[in-house]
Amino acid sequence: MKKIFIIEDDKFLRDLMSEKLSSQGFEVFGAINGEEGIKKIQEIKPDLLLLDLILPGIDGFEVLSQIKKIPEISKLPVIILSNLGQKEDIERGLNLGAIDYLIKAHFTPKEIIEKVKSILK
Amino acid sequence: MRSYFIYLELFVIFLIFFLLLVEKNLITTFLFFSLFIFLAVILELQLFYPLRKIVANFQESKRGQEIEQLNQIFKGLKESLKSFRFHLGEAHSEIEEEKNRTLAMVDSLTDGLLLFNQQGKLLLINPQAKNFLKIEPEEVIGKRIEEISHFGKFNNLVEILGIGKIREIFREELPLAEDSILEVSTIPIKRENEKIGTLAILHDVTREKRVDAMKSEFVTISAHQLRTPLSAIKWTLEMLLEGDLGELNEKQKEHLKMTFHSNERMINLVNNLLNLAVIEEGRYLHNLVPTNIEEICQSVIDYFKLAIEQKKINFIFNRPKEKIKTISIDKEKIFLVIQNLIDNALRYTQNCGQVAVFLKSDNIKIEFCIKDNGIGIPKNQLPKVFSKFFRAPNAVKLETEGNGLGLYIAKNIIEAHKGRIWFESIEGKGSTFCFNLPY
Repeated sequence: MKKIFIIEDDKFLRDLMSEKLSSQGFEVFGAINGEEGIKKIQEIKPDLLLLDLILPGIDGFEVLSQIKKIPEISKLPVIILSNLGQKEDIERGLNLGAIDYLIKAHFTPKEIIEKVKSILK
Repeated sequence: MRSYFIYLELFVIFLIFFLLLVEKNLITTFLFFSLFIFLAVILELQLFYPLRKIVANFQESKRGQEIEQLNQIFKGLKESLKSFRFHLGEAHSEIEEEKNRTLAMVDSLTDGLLLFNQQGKLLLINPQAKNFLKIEPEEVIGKRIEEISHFGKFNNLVEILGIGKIREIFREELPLAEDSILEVSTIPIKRENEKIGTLAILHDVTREKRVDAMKSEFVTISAHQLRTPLSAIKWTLEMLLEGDLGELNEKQKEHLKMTFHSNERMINLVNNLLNLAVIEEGRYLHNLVPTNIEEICQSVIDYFKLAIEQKKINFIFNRPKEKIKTISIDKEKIFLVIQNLIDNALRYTQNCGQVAVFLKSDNIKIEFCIKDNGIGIPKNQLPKVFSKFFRAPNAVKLETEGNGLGLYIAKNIIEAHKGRIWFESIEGKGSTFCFNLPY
């Protein structure tokens, strides 16, 4: 069973996503902020990370660049799932090594899971 | 006249002597002599004197008349000279007053003014322009534009105005310092259709820019805040519709679909507000790349393929005869413009209507037009077409969706590319929207 990790501060969105992913046969873990997320990721070693950008404490960009610096998890595929949608945000995220950038309001959970599946294939 | 009288007297004396000689009668001679003396005196007094006087008077009076006439003329001249001098003085003081008034106006304007003659020599600079550009008028007045570029903050301005022949510009931004921005416009000054100089106007837009930035920031933050709950609604609705949370009956599904659709509209509105905020922040065109505009048109048309089929629109794309040169543009934004224009044409044209796209180019520009035979725009609404949130009443009636931002955004994007956007429309007959982009 593939493990998906979600860093998302909005509980409702996190629950919705977890529910959808679980129903599709994924094992789902989550954190509400960056620091907690990075710590748990090192223990759990998930197959993929769904990462929000606006977070309490360190933001998603910072989480991403820290992950890339930790050798054990630096290869972890990261999909940014955020409502920041300016060109510079997207470019910054992709330059930091995110595999994709999805604007929450533009995708349904179904479409997000299709992306996840295609990456994990 | 007096000389004739002497001859007459001599003649009388001669006559007396003649008579004396002839008569040799002393008494008679004396009597004749006395008579002639008497006659002479009488003649002199009664005739010649008045006659002389008359003649003299006559002459006198003739001269007097002339003098009188001359006097009259002189008097007239004096009068007219006096009034001429008066009028001249008056006109002069009027001109002086007018000049002072104009100068006072020029000096007290909050906009900076610079007047150049046809040769590009600086003739006038008002205090506001002096403050903006941090220069002393005496340093720059009478000098040619290329000679003054190193004074104060002149060099940026000179760059915009152009060396030698001053360009015609309208509201071009001139950043002076970190938080000081001017807008520069030039107006040709003409006398009887002949250009005699150029007026450059510097308008301080620092405050507007700051307010704009604050507004944009506010919109950006709130738009992001709005997107999160909208995402939650979207995701929930989709999961309900997908049956993830248990099966729904048809009626429930139908209602949820409508709700999903409404929510999508809200998301679109937020997206447009975000686009708007970014456009108005002026950081819209940060990615100019050489682009084949024909390909962009084609990809927008592909995007609308389904809508075109559903409405059975007779859609024609008139490609340019020759291959169009690539043009440096912000690809995504021009995509957005074409998308908005085609979207409008399809939306406001009835089923089975006609929509045609024309694309052509010459050496200096690319021109895009889209023509439809749809509902058109009412005449009294024409001036408002490009304003923010504008929607024509007949458009609202036909199609409740739409936020009135599409054309406003399009205009902003085209103008940021220094292009022009325009349209023609007749209510009930259709509309044609065009834009051009300079190379």
